[in-house]
Amino acid sequence: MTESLKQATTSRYTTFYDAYDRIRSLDAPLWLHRIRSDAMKRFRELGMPVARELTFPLKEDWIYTDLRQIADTSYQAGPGETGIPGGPAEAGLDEGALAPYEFGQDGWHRIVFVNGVHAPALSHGPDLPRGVVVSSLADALVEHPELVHPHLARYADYESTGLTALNTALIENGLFVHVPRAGALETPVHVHYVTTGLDAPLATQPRTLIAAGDGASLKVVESYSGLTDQAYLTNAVTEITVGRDGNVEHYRINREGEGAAHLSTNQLHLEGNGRISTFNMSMGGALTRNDTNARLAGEHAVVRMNGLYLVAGGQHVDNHTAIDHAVPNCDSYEVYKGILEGRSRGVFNGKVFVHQDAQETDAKQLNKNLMLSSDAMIHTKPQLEIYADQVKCTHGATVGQLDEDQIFYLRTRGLSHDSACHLLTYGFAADLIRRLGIDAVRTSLDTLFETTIRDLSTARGRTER
Amino acid sequence: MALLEIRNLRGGIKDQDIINGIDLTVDRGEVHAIMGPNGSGKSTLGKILAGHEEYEETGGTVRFQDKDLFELTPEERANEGMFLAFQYPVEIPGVSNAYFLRAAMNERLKYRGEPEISAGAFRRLLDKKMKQVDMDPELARRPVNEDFSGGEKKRNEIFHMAVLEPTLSILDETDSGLDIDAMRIVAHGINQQRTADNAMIVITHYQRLLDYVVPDYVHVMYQGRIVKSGRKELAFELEEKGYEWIREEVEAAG
Repeated sequence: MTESLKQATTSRYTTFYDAYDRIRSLDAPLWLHRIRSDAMKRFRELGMPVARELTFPLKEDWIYTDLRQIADTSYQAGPGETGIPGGPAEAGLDEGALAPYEFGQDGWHRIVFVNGVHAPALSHGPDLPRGVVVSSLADALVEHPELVHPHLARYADYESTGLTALNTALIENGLFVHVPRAGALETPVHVHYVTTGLDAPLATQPRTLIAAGDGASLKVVESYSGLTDQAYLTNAVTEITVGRDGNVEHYRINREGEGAAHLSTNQLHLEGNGRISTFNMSMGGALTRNDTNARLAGEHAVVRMNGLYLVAGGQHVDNHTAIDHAVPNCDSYEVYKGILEGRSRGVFNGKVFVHQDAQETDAKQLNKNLMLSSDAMIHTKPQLEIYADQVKCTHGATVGQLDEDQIFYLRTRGLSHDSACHLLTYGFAADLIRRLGIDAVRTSLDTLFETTIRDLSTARGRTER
Repeated sequence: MALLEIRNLRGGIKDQDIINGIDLTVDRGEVHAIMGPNGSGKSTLGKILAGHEEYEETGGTVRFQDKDLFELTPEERANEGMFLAFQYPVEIPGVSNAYFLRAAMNERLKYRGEPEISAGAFRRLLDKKMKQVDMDPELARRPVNEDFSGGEKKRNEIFHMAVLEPTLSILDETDSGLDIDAMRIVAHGINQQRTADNAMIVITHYQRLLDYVVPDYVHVMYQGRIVKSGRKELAFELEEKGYEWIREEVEAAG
């Protein structure tokens, strides 16, 4: 037993180590070599966070989400030296294949990655305002290393978290957006990480870096789509930094394939009076784990961190969020709602740290869950640690089912039982979608959300009869 | 055939009969008031007719538009033309009144094999009905009943009724919790809906609503039965004398 466990452990991650050797041989700035090398060193020590192999307190963060199977899978890690297996050309991907995942407008900046590889033929966008950069991270490292260097891997912590270390060690490509001081990028950017049919389970390490300077504003939609039901792994890291008085709107949409594991770390950094609104919608994948962390580093910064998870069947979705009130006078508003059907599992853990100096903090957190099936399960845990005394902090968590009185009320107006359930489920989370700032995103997600729950209510009606 | 024919209806909740044999015939163009002291079974009658799952009929028959009512689901009853205005209207967070009403309207049209209503036509219908029942357009945009005042909720029920144009409306204590001004507005809205083709059952504890919504018939319920029926004058009598004399009459007779 001990012997076989040891063997399994030693043979783990070899494809990642090989990928690292390949990437290390590529041309890159010295500072990036160092970051990758440091991160690889840490990953070799940390590995993936497999709960049973961790000790307190790290174990606590992974108690409900078991990555052991993922850690034991030998993934094809990146394109390899021969180029692009299942890349855009071979996969036969064209505009038509991506259309269902778009937001219904042509004028946006779009950057597409297929199986981790940049697909320039599918990427396009209008002219950029002066000083603004929207490009693949690989291109930015060649063309604007001086803009990437101050931010890349500065926020997402690869010292203590294995998944971030892995992504950082294998940084190769992803999205880079830079809006300089007082600049404004009005047109949204859509970065689309697509995974398509594969021969072997693929692991990609998408890296997104979004930097808004002082007084700068921008909007980014980051979506992950799976065009295959096969198993694969997405291990994404996104860093967003906003300077003084800057404003970032960020949307993250997970429509990974049925067999996918989606792991992500989203690190937000806000300087004084900076604003970040992020909305995280999880629908796809067999297993999803999002870690979204915000550090309010300058006074009067405001972070809005909302999320919606919609899972069915045997899906598992885990959202861990942490908001770090490091200085006084900052606000954080967080609402996560979950709809769970079938045998799905949900986890919400919301940490809010209010440091001793962070007086006049206003922190609100809410997690609401709608259980559509008696076999579904949710673990929800608000975790407030407050060391300042002049603060307003509230949190709440609810777990409920569809209300029979509401269903009857709707039926007396002529709605069928299924339609009533569908409408109530829609209403449960519609406020989150209604609040989204970009019309096209709001409309698309509203339709997507409605269609998805209509399918859920229909499936539910069938199983009940 | 009358619109609604109730024959010796019995029923209640959890094996306990609250309705103990009711006979009532309602024809098109009629307004029937059902009065009675608290606990006499008025609201239970409304819930049984609308098909609330916690309430069950244990005897008797009800025919609605010549169909066996108990063969129909609550939504089928609604789409056949029945409408229950709730004593305590339910809040539906996140779903706007207008969105919900369009969904209800389309279910009805689908039930009747008619095409769905266009967004424009529905908008015009909504505007017309809002004016008719003196409804603040803002309330149509807001989630159904959420954060509505008591009066707004009741007015919203009448608004739903106006949009759905039922053939039989059962108004369960629509006047309860309303001040006199709110009640006048609600009563006006109800009167706007009265036609020769539809009918209403107005369930109320007090006579005052009937000053504004003048009934053709008044029935008094007591211990789950209709113990007295008359014209609108009966309502005045009840207002004057209270329900005590009814109890005495029933007990004397029994």
